[in-house]
Amino acid sequence: MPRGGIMLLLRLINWLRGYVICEITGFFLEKFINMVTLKGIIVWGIRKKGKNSFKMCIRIKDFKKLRHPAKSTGIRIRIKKKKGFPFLLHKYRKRKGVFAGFIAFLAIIFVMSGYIWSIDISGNEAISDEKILNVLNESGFKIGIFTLKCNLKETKEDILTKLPELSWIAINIKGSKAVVEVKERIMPPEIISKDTPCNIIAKRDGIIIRADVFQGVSNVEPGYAVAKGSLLVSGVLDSTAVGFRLVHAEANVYGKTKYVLRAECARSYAEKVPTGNVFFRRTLQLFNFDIKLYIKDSIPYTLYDKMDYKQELKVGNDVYLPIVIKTEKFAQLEEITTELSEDEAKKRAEDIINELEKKELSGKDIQARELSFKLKNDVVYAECIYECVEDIGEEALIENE
Amino acid sequence: MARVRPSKSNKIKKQKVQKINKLEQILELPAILIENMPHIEMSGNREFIIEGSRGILEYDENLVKISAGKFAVTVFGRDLELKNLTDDSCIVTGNIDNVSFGV
Repeated sequence: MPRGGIMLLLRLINWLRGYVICEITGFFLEKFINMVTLKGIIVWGIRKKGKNSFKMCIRIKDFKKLRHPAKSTGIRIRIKKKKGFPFLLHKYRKRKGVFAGFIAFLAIIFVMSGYIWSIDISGNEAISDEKILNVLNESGFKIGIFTLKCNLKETKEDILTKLPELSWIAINIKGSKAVVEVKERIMPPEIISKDTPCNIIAKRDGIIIRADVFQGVSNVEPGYAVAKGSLLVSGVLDSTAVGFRLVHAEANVYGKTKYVLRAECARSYAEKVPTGNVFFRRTLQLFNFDIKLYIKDSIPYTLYDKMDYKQELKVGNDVYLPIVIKTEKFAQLEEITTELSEDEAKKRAEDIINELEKKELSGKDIQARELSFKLKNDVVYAECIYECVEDIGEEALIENE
Repeated sequence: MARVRPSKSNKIKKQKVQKINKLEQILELPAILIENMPHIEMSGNREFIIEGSRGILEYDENLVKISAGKFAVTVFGRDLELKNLTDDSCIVTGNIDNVSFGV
């Protein structure tokens, strides 16, 4: 039933407007109350007090209207208690300091929320936050600037010209926090254009399996062993009929290559495991000053994992206040030594190699793999030799001699 | 034996009431809409709300008598308090023992 809430709201309104608890004494109390209510005055909390007296509540505004009905019914009214905000205000009206302080508080909040207190940068991957911040500072957009003063459009253009790596920037001011979103330009890879003469050289050691030459003179035959950097397809054409000329060599040269991946796994190794004990340290950051909320600087654990949290105080959704509570969380760690059997260690080493294979040999056609283990000083060494087939050609500019 | 006939004015009044009752039955309307009846609501034995009252006739810790036009409602109980009072509604709170209707 929502009436409970409505009653509470009514009480709050009554308190804000102020009301009087008064005692009425006389003989025709019911008649008096009827007269009062007929005037449209709301009365509440009527309770019998003595033989001929009631206690009741009435709003300040309506109190003066009681005089006429009281006189005509011969009833005496006495104020018992004054309640509500107007009376409170009246009581403290001479304490100007309180009012001044309150107004100053509001003014400070209002003015301070007009400044930028923090800058958040998101969307950057290759460029560091500091670099963008520095450029922002150079263009005049820094922490402590008044929000209305800064020309965002100009700043944006300025930054985009100063940082060509960025393709797009947006500065959103949310209260006292500036959120800078950037998008990095994807730089085109350096491609040797089709007109530029070039050779094709080997990027890895290998044995040639097949060479499909579209343009240029093949320097290798299937079965040839080549070293890294050796010429596969030449871009220099030299014929007796036409003479000497340079072309852009184009070819797919497939070669058999060898890869070796190694991994090791000790039979006894120490692992750090959280014990569940946690220790917090809090710091209050007011503007740019840090206030420690702890006494002891020392951390009770020798082995620990540290995590930082930041909680920014804000009013509503967008107005960030220059107050930040920083929490450092220390989780105690414990070293647990695990003993593995030889087979388990081998299994573990193999798993590591499989992981590595996925990472390093992706996109290559693996023809054969050979796994071998070696045990030395209680450490299992695993070695895996791969035979792959891949395109080993790489374009290289012809250097003029 | 001479029959006692009802007087004419009484008869008309009776017919009128009957008509209203019939209309009520046909339309199945609550009585408050047609006649000037108060609306009464109670929450257990703690709260008694009346809308459409015509003023307080008597108030005491153990008894509240409220005029409702054609009749009066009397609430008996202990520690009775008039929680909210306007010209046409009233809330009585306390331990209500008995509610009676009478002229």
